[in-house]
Amino acid sequence: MLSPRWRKVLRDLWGNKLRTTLVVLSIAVGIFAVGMISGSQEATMAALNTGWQATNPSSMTIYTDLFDEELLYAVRHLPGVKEADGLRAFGARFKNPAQLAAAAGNVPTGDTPVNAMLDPEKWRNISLIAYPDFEAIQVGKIWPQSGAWPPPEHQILIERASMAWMGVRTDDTILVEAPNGRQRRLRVAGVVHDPGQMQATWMGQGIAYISRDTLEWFGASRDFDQLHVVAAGENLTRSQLNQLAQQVRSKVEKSGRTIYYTYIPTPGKHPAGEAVEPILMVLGVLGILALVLSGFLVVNTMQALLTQQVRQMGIMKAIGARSNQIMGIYLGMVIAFGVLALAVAVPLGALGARGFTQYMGNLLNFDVIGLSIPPRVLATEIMIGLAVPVLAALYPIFSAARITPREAMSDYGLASGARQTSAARSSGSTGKKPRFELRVRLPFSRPTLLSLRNTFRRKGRLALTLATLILGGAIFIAVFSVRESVFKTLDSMYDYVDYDAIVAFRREYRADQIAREALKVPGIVAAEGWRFDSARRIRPDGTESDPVFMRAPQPDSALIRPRIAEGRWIVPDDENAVVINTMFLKDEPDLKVGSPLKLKIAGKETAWQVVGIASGTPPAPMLHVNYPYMSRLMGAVEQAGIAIVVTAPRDPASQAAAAKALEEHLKAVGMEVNYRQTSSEERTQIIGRFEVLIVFLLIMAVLLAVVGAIGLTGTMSLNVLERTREIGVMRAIGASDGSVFQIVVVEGLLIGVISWCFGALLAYPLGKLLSDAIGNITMKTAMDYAFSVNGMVGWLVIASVLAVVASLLPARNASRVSVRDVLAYE
Amino acid sequence: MFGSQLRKNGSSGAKTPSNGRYRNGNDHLIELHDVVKTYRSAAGEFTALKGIDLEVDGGEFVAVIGKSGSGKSTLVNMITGIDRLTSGEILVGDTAIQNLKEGKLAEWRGRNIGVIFQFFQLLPTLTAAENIMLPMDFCRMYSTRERRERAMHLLELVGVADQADKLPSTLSGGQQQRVAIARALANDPPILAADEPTGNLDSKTAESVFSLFETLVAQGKTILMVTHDRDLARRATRTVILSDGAVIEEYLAKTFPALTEAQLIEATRNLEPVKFLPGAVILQQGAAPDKFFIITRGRVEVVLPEANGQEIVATTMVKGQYFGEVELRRGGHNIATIRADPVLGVEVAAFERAEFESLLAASTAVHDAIDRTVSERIAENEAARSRLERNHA
Repeated sequence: MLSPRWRKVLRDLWGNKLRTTLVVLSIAVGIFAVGMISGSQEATMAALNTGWQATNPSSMTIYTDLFDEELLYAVRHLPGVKEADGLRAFGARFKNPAQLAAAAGNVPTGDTPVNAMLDPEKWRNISLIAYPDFEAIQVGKIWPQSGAWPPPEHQILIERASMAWMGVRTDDTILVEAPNGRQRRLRVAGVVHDPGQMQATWMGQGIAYISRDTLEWFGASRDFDQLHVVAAGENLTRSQLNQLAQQVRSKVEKSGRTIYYTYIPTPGKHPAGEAVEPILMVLGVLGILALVLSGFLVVNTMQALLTQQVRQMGIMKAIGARSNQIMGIYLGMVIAFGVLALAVAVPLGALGARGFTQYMGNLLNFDVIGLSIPPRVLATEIMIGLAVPVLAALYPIFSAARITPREAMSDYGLASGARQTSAARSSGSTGKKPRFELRVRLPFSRPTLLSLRNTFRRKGRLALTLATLILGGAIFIAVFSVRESVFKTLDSMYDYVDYDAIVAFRREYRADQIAREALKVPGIVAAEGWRFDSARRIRPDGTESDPVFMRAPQPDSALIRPRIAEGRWIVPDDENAVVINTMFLKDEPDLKVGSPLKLKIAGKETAWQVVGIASGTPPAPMLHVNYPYMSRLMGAVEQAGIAIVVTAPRDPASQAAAAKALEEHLKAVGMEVNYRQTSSEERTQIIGRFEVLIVFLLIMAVLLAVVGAIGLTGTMSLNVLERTREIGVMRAIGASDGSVFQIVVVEGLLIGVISWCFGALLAYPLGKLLSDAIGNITMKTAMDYAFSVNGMVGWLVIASVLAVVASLLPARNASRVSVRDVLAYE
Repeated sequence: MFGSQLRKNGSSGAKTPSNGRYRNGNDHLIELHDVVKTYRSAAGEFTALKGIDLEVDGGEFVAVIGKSGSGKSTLVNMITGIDRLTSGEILVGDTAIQNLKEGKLAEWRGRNIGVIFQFFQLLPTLTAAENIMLPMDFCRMYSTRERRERAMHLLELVGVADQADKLPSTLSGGQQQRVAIARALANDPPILAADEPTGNLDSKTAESVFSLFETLVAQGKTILMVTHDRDLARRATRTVILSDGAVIEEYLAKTFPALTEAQLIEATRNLEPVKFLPGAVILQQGAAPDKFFIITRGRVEVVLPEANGQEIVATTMVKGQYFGEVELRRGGHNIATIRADPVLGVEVAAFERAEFESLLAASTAVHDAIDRTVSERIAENEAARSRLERNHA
């Protein structure tokens, strides 16, 4: 049979359901945040890496001139090579059935995917991949999901993460245009899963698979241009892989072929893993913050709960309970709260983790395995669920259990202010002198003044409630600041290179011809022909850097406004002068103004000298060189592959219209256009990538706001409960329902507004920190920071609404207190 | 003069273990020595108890009375250990409670003192029976099965057995207080301490609660009851009057009802409590008088000499009566021998001549009353002597 003390614990839990709910929710929020985030972290990384390993991923990918099976055979037999595969991948563009129908004058209806509702004239990018034998892929395996397998002749298989973006379904027919201009209609024969490919939305292109016969149908060679190699041996280091890559490259180069690029991913990790991990880490930090706030909340609620129980503790001591027995009872109660919170939060956290993982799985194209909670996550949740409330309650329980029964039993009623200090207790005192007296006469009504003064009565509780709301608010505003910083960074990026549309050609044309033809198009007010090339740095120790873009604008270009951090910008007479940007400097920190720089461009090594360093933007490592020199160096004097144009007006619609007109005009004059893109489209695509992260950050901010609201509801409920007698006395001297209601709501609102003030102040540095961190993760540089005034105003509204909503229930309870209740309330 | 027959009470300081009936040398079940309790508040320092000396014997039913703020509740809280004293000493049975740490004190209290509050203080989430079982649970008294049986037995004793499984909120005030008394009896403690136990009850219910207390005292319990109801207090076996943190000698107040509280406090402070063993002579006929006595406990015999040299007990005086005033007022020698009851002995409050005279000077009413008594006693003495002479003749 359960002893009376444990029956008391159970009845206290059950008897005050609102309080139990508040305490359980306070604890549950922290467990949920940690469970959801660490659960999704574990599940995402596990599923990502498991799925990735199952494909037998390549240890390195070498991009070369076309090669045949003979070279592949030779590479396969190199020492240190376990397996090697060759494939052909080429960039093309496509139109989907809806676009084709719209172009033919049939407006799509019914359940046509949203992405299909596109400009019928708009081509979008697609990467066509051809394997020699789809059944015998050894490296980077792909799996059929539905429909035909392998790809039938003149038909196409689509990677599953590209289907929605492309707006196609099995049996649809799409129009594909190869770089050589050949257009072919291909039936979508099936869907495949390639775990090495991400969402098309992120990549801005669809992924599709064709047979080598279909490849020939486009007029392309059956040969390969990518070499995928798996190294023999386990747990190889990057330097061992570099060594092997060097051997493979030598073999390829000895066959007379040029190596364009070697990609060596982090061994054993999904290529997206490196990008995902820091994002999960940022979310993890927010999860920990949510946990800390939940901890504050628990401390607050526990302290208040124990304050309410102090009288009962006194009674129990008066009838013979020892301090450790009292502590046992209340620790038991706290553990019961923890267990209840675990019961609520663990399944919810698992559901949240699954939702999050599924979202990530959709984004990164991996399958989520099972719904089980990883044991480590469960152990963390249990530890948090039990340890946080116990730690939060330990001091209040300890101090409450040690006071004398008289102190415990007299700690009620009108004079129930802050509890006595231990020194005062030991001397038997009943209170302390106020530190200051309210002498200022404030121009408020008495009820408002009462709210004002009530707000500051329980300073400890107020501080913890404020801490929760302030942090929640600061994170909310900071997240909005990150969003605005993204916009600002993009603004300065487009300010740096001030263009409205870009058109890439299939082959190079004279730069002056490009500019002349472009300016003939109505709506285009400025145009230039630029070169874009790719290079790799050959470091003094012989190693090669990742590929870096080389931009060669016209020497007197008005469309580029570089921000020089050090040195100078390109001048028309420059020959081998190069301006690096700070992001390239980050990867190659030994460089400075005046440093010699050896670059490998199209397989040839060339010598350069750094003359300047341009700051941050655009968000990628970039080299700027003088156009005339570069075009001479590449053996294509005054030739350019890119048209950069400025339109008037510059809104997205005008940009799109001018770009379309430009492509049509260029085609009309016989110039072969590969693709076109407006700056608005590019911007939307970049923002889209950030939006994913921002949405997650906002979810966390909302979670924190919920924590704050629960905290405020708890604080207000407890304030009202503690002042029952006082409220009754006010009723006795004539306070109406409305007055009592107003006193409580104004107090809540005041807390909300105070939290907003401090939250807004804290949001500035926090936003900067978050924006720098996210900038560094996503762009390898801090973003241009913009503090979000909209976020600040938005949070004021939300904090006020939350404060009022959180106070409504306590206010209603307060306004229901009758004088008779108070008389009965001993 | 009285040699080893006299023991002066009220001395502070620890006594040697061999001196008294209890381990700490105390003769009485409850002894307070120079107990001071000072509170410090925003308004300043406040001394609620100003050097209280008090003894309570087992089986006494002591009513502690006094005005609001006189220190009644504080006094009981000190004895129960619910509050801590600032200085002094409290001995309850074998325990010096000021030496106990909080945990030990709680357990000691649970086993030795049943506490009853004005507002019942039942735990709201436990039923009546469970409230009674709780102290047994805390103090590990009785087996788990016995606890329920004992709780039911106690509820029957206080007459609310039919309410055993109800929550306190569903009970009337009287029923709640009965449950609270049953809870106080849970561990069968020798002492019950009740702070205004009837203060929140109607007169009929208060009467039944009080009767219950009388029954418990008859069964051997010692009860300390704080009350401001003088009618109820009168029914207790003893009254301790508190005023402004000090104890007023009960019989001094009864003897001189015309004195103000301040005068009574001053007089209490000046009196000397003296205990005489059975048969001890307090006043010897013919000796020079020097003191005035009020009987506070026990009895005295007034003895007159017979012609044959024998003595005869002319009368007896009990607590509340006084002697020594005739000689102090009239001058001359003691007109009779007064000695402690040969069985009970006596405890008296003694005043020196100067203090007695200042008492009379403080109040005309007291002066007149004493003089009236002197006249009556002389008349009685002469009448008694005449009777004796006639008898002898």
